[in-house]
Amino acid sequence: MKVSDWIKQHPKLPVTVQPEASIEAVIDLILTTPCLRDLYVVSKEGVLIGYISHHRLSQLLLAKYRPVNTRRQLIERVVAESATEIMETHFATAHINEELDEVLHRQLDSRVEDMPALDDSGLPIGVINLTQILQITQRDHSHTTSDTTD
Amino acid sequence: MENNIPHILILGLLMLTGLMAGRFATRFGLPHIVAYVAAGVLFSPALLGNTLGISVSNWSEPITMGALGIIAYLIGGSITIPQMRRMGKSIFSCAAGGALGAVLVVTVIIFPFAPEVGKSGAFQLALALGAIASTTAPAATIAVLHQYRAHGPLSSTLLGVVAVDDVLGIIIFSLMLAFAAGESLSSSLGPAFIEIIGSLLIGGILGILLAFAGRRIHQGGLRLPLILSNVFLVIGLADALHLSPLLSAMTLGFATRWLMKAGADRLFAPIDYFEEMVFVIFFTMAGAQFEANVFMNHFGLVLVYFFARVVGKVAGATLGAKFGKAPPSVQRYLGIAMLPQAGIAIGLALALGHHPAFSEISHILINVILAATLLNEVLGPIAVRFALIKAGELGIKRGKLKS
Repeated sequence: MKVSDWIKQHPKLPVTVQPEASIEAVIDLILTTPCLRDLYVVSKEGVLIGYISHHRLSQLLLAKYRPVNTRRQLIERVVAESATEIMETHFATAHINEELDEVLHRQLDSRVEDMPALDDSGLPIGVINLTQILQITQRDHSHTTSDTTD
Repeated sequence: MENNIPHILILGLLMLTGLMAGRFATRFGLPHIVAYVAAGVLFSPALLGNTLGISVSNWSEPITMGALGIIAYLIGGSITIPQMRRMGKSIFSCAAGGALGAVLVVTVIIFPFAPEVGKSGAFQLALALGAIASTTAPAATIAVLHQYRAHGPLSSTLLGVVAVDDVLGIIIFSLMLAFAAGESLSSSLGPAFIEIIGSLLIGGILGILLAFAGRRIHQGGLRLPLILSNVFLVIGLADALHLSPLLSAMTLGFATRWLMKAGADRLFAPIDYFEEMVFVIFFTMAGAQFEANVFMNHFGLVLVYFFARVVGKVAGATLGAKFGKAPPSVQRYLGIAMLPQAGIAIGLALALGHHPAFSEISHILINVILAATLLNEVLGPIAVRFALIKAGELGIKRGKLKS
């Protein structure tokens, strides 16, 4: 199955913020959106430029509860940051023309729940959600098992 | 006497004994740094060192420099220019005050007490101890802030100050080395200028290359060798060109973080947790160079250094805080809270041991800094707690966590 076909069947857009969004705004978004683990940063033109994981945000917010901090965490505790400063610029994406089973390896390697699918101009047209894939794989597996048993 | 024990075996023994002693000490609520030193002392000449023929000073230079280079790279990459701007004048003013105060007071007070040893002389010993005095121990300070859930202007200023303190410490130390190598101050000016500019250039150029490679190398497993190769390359090149390896490595970290902008974390995170390993090496190696007679002969110097550093830190931080218009509690108590000193100080003392200009006084330097660090390790956290109590920022003590 092509990524574009998957997106048509499972339409879901990545949750995004602007680069200048404050950390507070990013936290609000991640806390108020159900089951959100992966947040993407988009430029004014709508192009994906960065990725912020739930884990990265948690590390930033909960640093004060840890007995050991790295030097960068120490500075981050003192000065408030914006989305652009904590985002990861190298992150996994899929192209709409790729085969779904080819991009799954990339998704599992990068440990993201929602991997964005991009069109030819680099704009996000949807996400490949790992839970949805797991549900379908599990359903197919159950069908195969019951067929064999029958 | 030195047997044919492979150096790597000695290093392994030191690290393993240090780690085991550290675990043991933590179980009994003792500082793990004291345990690392005790493990090292076990292999000092007076104990097992002579019997086993173990000596670390003659082969440890590449290890010490490599480890210090990693720390300097992490320190350089800890802050960006926008973060510096947002941090505000107060934190930088307090950090600079504390660092320069310690350097000045320790250098001036140590000088009349310092023994004349060989060509190096009392002034160079005073200068070296002064430069090392500027460094602090962020880990010990954070541990106290965390343990007592401290919260308030002093706590937040202290966090910022200990985060940038070692940046100043490395700059001051590198400047001191550049100037101390010459016969006189006037004859040192030209070479020192070349050394500093050259170090910044070499660190900057390799920073450009590392950031360029960092953007293109996407395999996580290649990042660690990429970082380490660049750190070792920069300190090796700096050494070969008679520049400052520490300043070069710190510039490498700073330039890499600055040029990478967003996403720079991946060029630092792989070595973040090297710091503890580096400190195990530093403390055990310093412990293995412990000489009871040198310590006894210079016990007075240890006390003078300790008290001069206290005076310098307190006076300097108070002046810095006043200049930076920090809140009154920060002006009064910040200096006392800046007393902890640990791994970086030991690392710098070990590095001086390999510098030709300080070779004759290296044994005094290492033993004095080792003893003073142990004193600071015990008294430093008490001083931080005292400052927090006085500032009214002590929260409820956390219960002990089982590790």
